[in-house]
Amino acid sequence: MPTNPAVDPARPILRGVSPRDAERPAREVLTAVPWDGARRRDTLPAAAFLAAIRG
Amino acid sequence: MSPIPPPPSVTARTRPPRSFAAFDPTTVDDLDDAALDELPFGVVCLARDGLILRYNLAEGRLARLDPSTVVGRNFFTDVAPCANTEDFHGRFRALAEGTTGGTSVRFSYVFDFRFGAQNVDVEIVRAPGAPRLYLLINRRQFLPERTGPEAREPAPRQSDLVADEAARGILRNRYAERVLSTPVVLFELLANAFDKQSAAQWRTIAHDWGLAAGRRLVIELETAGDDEIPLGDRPMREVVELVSDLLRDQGWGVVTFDLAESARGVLRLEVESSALVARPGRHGRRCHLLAGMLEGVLNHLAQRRLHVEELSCACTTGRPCEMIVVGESRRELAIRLAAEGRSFDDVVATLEAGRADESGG
Repeated sequence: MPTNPAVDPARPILRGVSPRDAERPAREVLTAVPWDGARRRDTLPAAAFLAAIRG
Repeated sequence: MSPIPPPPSVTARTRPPRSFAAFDPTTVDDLDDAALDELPFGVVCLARDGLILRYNLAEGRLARLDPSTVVGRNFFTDVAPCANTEDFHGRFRALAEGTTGGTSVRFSYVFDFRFGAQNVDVEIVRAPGAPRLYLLINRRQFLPERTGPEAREPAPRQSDLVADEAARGILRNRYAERVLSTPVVLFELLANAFDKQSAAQWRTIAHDWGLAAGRRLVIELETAGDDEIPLGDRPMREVVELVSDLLRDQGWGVVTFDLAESARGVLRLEVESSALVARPGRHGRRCHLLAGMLEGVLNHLAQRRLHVEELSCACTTGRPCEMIVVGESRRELAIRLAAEGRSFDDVVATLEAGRADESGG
């Protein structure tokens, strides 16, 4: 059994991120991860947010 | 032939952000050598006459001088003659002699080295109640070597300070850090020794060892660029390349980062061609050292305590080693699940179920 599997040079070093996130600062990307496992709350739709702050 | 002189005594060394803006300089004298070495900026402790008493790892790395060979020399005449000016030494003397108010002074300066000049911010701090002062040196910009009339006498190279080190069995890299040229089987031998003597402790010790090495790796990464942009402010893509390239160039293998499950609070890392996997074996997981190193880097980037645990190793699977990154609250469970040989998907599902259990009861 090989212990040094061949590296696929075409395999990207960074996977599973959008092109936009790939260009965001690393600290921003990593601090946004819900590390304790809590799901991120969905952002309020803008209309609901405006309605909320206007009472 | 005159006997080869013994090497000078080695001072202890050490972690990271690149600026000392958030650091309380009055506490520097309370830090031991290991803590000084964890700082991401240069720290030099001087007696009032300029004799070097302490010299941290970051300063050694950035000045390309081995801390163990500069301690005991005079900073202004032997190690940094470019600082032997009224602008620098004069301020130092005034603070040392108490002829200036306050306990610290801060200014910008240009250090001259043979490998290039450096724009730095310097803060000189007088240790409270002790006859010593600290230089806190933060690099702002790396420049080409100055050769014009503005250039001052450059700092010596390591080889100028200690001649013919190779004859004494001392090898150094381009940053004058002492290195060892040895087959990676040395790591396997160490792991085997642990297997015989204290198998239960190997994971913990190797991981902790790696974490300390990861903190030092951060200094390498933070000082790798020619600009002053902190690692965390660089694009995610660029940071991943920097980390992976550095580890690859050091011979550890190729690390890849998969953030596809990041919304679930986990990342997946893979290490191809890990240096810690010498041959197929009965041992389940061999790369705890690398997991710790990556944890040190990710802690720094995420600005919080994370945990990296190897789930499967090339030594038994023949595929790249797989690791999971979790938050501190999931650490113990992740370690237990990894020890049970669970797959990445299984671990993630169980971590989420664990949280659901907590929420439910």
